[in-house]
Amino acid sequence: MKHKNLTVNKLAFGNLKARRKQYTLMIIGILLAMIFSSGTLFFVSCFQSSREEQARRESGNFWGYFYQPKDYIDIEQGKKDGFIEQYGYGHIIGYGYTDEEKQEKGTPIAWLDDDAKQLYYVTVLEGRYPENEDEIALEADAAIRLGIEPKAGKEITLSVLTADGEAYLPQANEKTYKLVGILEDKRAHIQNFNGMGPENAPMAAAFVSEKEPLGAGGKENIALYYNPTKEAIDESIKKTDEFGNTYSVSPLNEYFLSDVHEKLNPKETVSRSMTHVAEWYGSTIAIFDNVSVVAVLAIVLMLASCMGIINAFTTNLQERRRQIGLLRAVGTTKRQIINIFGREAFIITLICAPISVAISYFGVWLFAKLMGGSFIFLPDPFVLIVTTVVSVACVMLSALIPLIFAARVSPMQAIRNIDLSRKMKHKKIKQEKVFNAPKLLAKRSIKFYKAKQIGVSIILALTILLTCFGFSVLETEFLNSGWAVYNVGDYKVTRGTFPMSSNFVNMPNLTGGISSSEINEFAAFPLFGSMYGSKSYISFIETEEYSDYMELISLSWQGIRYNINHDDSLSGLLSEEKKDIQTLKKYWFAEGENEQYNALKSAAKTENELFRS
Amino acid sequence: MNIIECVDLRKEYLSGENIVNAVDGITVAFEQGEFCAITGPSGSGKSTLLHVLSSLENPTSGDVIYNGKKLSGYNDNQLSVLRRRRFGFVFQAYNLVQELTGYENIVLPVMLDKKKVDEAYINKVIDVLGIGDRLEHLPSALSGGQQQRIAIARALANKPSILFADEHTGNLDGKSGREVLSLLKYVSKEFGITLILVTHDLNVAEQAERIISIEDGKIVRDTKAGV
Ligand SMILES: Nc1ncnc2c1ncn2[C@@H]1O[C@H](COP(=O)(O)OP(=O)(O)OP(=O)(O)O)[C@@H](O)[C@H]1O
Ligand SMILES: [Mg+2]
Repeated sequence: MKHKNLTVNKLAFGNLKARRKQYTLMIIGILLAMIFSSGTLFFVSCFQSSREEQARRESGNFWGYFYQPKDYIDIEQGKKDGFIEQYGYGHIIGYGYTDEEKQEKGTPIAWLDDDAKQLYYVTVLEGRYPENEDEIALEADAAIRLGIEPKAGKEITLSVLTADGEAYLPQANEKTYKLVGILEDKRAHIQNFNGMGPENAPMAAAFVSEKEPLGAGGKENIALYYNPTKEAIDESIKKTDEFGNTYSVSPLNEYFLSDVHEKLNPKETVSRSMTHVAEWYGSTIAIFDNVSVVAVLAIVLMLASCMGIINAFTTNLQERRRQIGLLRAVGTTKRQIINIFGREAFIITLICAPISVAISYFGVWLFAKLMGGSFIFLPDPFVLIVTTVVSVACVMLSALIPLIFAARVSPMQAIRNIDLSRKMKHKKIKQEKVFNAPKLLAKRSIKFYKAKQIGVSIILALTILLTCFGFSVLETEFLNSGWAVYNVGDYKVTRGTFPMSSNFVNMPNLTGGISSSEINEFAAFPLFGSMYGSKSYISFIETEEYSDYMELISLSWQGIRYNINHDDSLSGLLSEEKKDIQTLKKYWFAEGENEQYNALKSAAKTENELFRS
Repeated sequence: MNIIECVDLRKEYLSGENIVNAVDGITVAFEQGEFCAITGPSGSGKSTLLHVLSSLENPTSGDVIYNGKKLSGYNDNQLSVLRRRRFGFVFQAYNLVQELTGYENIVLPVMLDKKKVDEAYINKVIDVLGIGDRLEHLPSALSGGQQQRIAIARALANKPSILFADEHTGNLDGKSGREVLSLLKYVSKEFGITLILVTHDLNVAEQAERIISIEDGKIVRDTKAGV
């Protein structure tokens, strides 16, 4: 007679097969818990990638630039010296507009070399990037400003000023392009670039192919975008820390950029950009701040799922104490018990893991897709692997607790239900002579198994509680911080506590400049989502339409920003700023001057309630 | 030489407010290769004595000494190993792992020990027990008597030093009961296994070399055959 050898695996599989029905329920429970835990991880990852991606799409993926770099800027040497990671050139060949009266609503037209394309982080929303002569792609916002419907496939005609190597030639030429693509907006164009007029902005909102010829008598305006190496950034951060962090993110830029500039050219000063890097870095800081909140949230939700898993395994093993007792009686050690039933758990986990990870991955992807806009879920194999491993580890660790309890089952359990006799040791059972059978049985069951049922209920209640807590945190910390988007009239307003898709102004030294009543005044203004602190305020504005009103705001900001960035004397800066605040207020609070302003102001009462939580 | 013995062994059960002295100060020794039957009225404490002797249950006081060593000094792991290598069990109700086939149940202790199955020996045991044609079935598809025989085969699988059997004939008819008993006697002689049987059946008890009678948790008689 030949018999196959019995192995622990066989025992585990045998168990699984024979108890298929009982396992179905358990597997569903574990699936849900795993979907929950891996979904949480994917969500965190989606949240993180959304912000990073959003920051990149809106500000580009470069840290700094030189506009019209002089010959002495030897960027290649910077790369050789190890503090420049990547650089690329934008070739601005002209400036396009549609309305002679509103030339400032136009945009530079450029083509980008391959590196610059990566650094600029061009994101095509519709159609494609231009490949041939006479083709053009416009950022959506720029198209609106030009009065062109942002839809790919049409012919458009622009008045084009040819670049002359410094600015633009005065004479405009009519030029017809095929609009082949609509691109994601770069924030730089909603608010004019760092005090420069749009015609001098180093970032274009209209792109052509490199085959596009330059107008007669012209010379390209050059923008050089670059990224520093990680070492260079670290070095600057260190210097910033030494300086003391009173200036929030600005000194980093200051230091970093002066570092780079110094390295590239120790003697001469060149024009430079603060805003852009500040925004980029600001977003990064915000990402880290919020990720810690989300991480706490994720841990809470994972704990809740783990409790569900513990519950599932406990119930399963509870039913099998007799079998476990028998195995113990014939000499199975505690460790072998854990091995046998742990393997069962492992097999279940291996079945559940891919399914649940796939479901939650797809779920979060779908969620991001449906939410659109700010949610960008990028497929990331690293996240996928980490999530799978963490989910499996979660289940196995959770399973260990009931397994340890299972291993403690006495061998006597095989012979007699000693669990019950143990429990009844100190309890008296009142015997009844005449009784209603169903009633008595029900009564006894409750008496005997009360503790067990209470235990299960407690775990269930805790699971639900933790889940609710998790979601309430999600509600307040997660969704409210920058993700709430409201439509106010013609404007899309994002509310939040961090500068994600935002223009933000950081004025650390305006102690005397803004009073709390002024803050209230600002906050009362319809487009302001939130205001906080006495030293700084942050606001978010996103437009789909570029109106006179928006121009007012952005021009005012420019003034402030310009001063902070370019005035080195602090006292001078303060007085200048105070003056600018006055101008700003005059713009903002001069009622009756602007129709749109008045309309918004009258809507403010109700909208304000929306903004303040 | 004494393979297993106990000294002033006591086992108390607390049920409600009553204390039951299931084993009440028993001192007894068993020799290697001995065939001993324990008899006594129902509820006298036979099963309890067997469970405490075989380390399935801890005594309230007193000591069990196996091969000169006190079991109270063994940890849980050592007791488990002792049970699977040295002891065989046949319980009052046949205890088989429901998810395993007859054969798998039989070789379970060998597998837990990660040893190779002594096929010749197992086949011999299977042959004698007459269960060769039912080995591929799950216990739920076996009759009471067949399950009992599988349990006996399992108890013998690891060639234990001692086989503890509690009412092993309870579900067997007279003929099978006698067959199983003669098998037990045969293997115990062949492999020098000590047999400790708890039984109500006087016919079975009479086959033993030694009969211990228990009443109210105490030994009331201890007779050796031919003495
Ligand atoms: N877990 C327990 N809790 C309380 N009392 C118990 C427990 N187990 C056994 N007893 C009591 O101990 C005494 C001895 O029981 P035991 O099972 O050893 O009897 P037995 O001699 O094997 O009887 P039988 O021949 O009917 O099998 C009985 O009075 C029984 O009620
Ligand atoms: Mg008994």
